[in-house]
Amino acid sequence: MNAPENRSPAVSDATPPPPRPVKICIVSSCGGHLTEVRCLLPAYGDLDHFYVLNDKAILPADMQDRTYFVSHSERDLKFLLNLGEAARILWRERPTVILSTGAGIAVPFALIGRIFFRIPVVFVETLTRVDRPSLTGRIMYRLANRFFYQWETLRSYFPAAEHGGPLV
Amino acid sequence: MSTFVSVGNAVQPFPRMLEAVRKCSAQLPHPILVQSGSTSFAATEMLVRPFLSSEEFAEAIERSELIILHSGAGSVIHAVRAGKTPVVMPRQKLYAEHIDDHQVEFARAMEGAGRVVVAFEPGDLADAISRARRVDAAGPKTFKAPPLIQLVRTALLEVGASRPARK
Repeated sequence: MNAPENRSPAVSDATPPPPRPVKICIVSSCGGHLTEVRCLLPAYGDLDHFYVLNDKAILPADMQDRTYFVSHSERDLKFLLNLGEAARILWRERPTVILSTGAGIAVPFALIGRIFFRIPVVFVETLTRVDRPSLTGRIMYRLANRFFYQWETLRSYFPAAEHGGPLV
Repeated sequence: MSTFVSVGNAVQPFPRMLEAVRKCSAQLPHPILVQSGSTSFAATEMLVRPFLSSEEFAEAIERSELIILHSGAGSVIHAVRAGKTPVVMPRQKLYAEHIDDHQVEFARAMEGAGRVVVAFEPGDLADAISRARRVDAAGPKTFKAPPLIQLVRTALLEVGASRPARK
């Protein structure tokens, strides 16, 4: 009955299943993190995507009708509010993958996304962390399906992750 | 032919950098545009604006011959992607210019990668300016797409398309 899902590896190698439409939820704080994730626009710009930001910002034209705004938590009780906001947005949009370079706002979206919606997460540790990882990076290393760091010096902190090289 | 100076939008003031710029203003190409953020700063020989729109910021980066920035990721990324070699002064925790010293770390790494010239203290600024101008005088750099973009795209397509069917 569920035969289409249970192809043998040999068959699926020869005829890959039709790609599911990808829909990307990009979660970012404003400022440097947003600049970084926007540097990645060539990686996702042609795919279905939307943004979640934790502060109001003046947005470029292409972000204006595809951006949600949520509360700004600084490791405080608003984190709980963020969990609720994440659940509401992910329920409504049903993205197939979450992308973030931080900051902390990535954590509630990754938690709710992975646990309740089984949405995989791609995380890029910020360019500004060179000698030691960010707290968000250390948490997201546990939560992300794919994790990239930008400076070789962080290798020992993220042994199972991928070194992607700097964005600039 | 002009200079653009920016301390970014952080809430902490950064007078150490702006006073250092004032000291060597005679050596800088004029006009000088300063985005002063939360720092209280006035100068007759410079045009001082607390904040700029992102378009104004991009335009200032594009048309300036010399760029002096705090070492924030947003500012530095814009300058490097425009093919410029900015002089950067990292905000330091010691002087209550930021909550930690990640700008120092970032500035060192970017200098190691040949993207910026760092002035850690006001006394280093004049020398850093000369070095940055020598680099940019050697010709414009072209910004190449970093491999990380393709890696992230592949990852997004792999994990984003292999999501298990919704229950």
